[in-house]
Amino acid sequence: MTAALQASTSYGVGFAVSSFPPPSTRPSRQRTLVLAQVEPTDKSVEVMRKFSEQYARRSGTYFCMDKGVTSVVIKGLAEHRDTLGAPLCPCRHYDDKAAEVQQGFWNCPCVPMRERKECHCMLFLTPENDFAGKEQTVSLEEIRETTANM
Amino acid sequence: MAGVLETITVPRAAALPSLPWLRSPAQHSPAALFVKSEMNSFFSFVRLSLKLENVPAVKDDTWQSLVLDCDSPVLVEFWAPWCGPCRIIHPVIDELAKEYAGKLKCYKVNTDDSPGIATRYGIRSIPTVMVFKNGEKKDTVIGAVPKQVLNTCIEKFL
Repeated sequence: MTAALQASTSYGVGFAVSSFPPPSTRPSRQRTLVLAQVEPTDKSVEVMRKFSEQYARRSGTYFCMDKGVTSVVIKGLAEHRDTLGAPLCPCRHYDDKAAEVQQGFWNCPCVPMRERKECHCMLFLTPENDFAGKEQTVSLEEIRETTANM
Repeated sequence: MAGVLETITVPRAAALPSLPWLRSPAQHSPAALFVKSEMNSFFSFVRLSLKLENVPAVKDDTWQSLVLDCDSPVLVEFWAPWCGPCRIIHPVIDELAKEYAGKLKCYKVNTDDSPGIATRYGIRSIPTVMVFKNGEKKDTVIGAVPKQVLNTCIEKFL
């Protein structure tokens, strides 16, 4: 079963996976982004929250029983959306984030998620996963509450 | 490039379909998985433990002296601020640091603060735990694994 689950989101991210274009030659912005942990904008958090709810429903997956995990990942995606222009997976290390965004493989939903429902970030969990909760919704309040002490 | 490599390595660990983050090159036994009924109390513990930071950070300038030149084995957790599974494994590492005090040094590397170290050791998926001994990387465990998996890994090098 390799049918890719296409996400319908309000941000426009191109998935140029099969063609593997050469990495972008524009200078990496990573150096200026890593020096401080910046809170993502409310707008991006809301976009990624809605995307996550919608994609969980479409893919038949569930959020972690600890919504703190869900919330942190959503904020990480939002932060990357703010700084890189695309929701690059926050649970990976990249030598060049800008180049990874261009390649598209790890833009959420990443290729392993779309093809095999594998989300190592634990944002989208299949029902049989030991960490899977029963919900496909997460509110802004939950996100605020569970990430308040970070 | 990273994406290509990942595609190649995934089928090797296909024996654990429900827990992709559990996979590691060492193919640790899945027998030590959490019991589902214990999960809620586990997460309560995690939330409490998040406020306690027992494991010091190591950065580029201290990597050589604290990790590579250390006389005892060293466990290093590579993490990132917006990584969800890292929230699960932080308190486990804190606990291991206490449990093996005097026998094992434990450090955390924020891959955003020290991208050079992460790149040097080929870190891709986060969290990743590595064990070093005599300046050499000895083992790697990827993902938020149960504590027993890390116990087994550590004890090989004590």
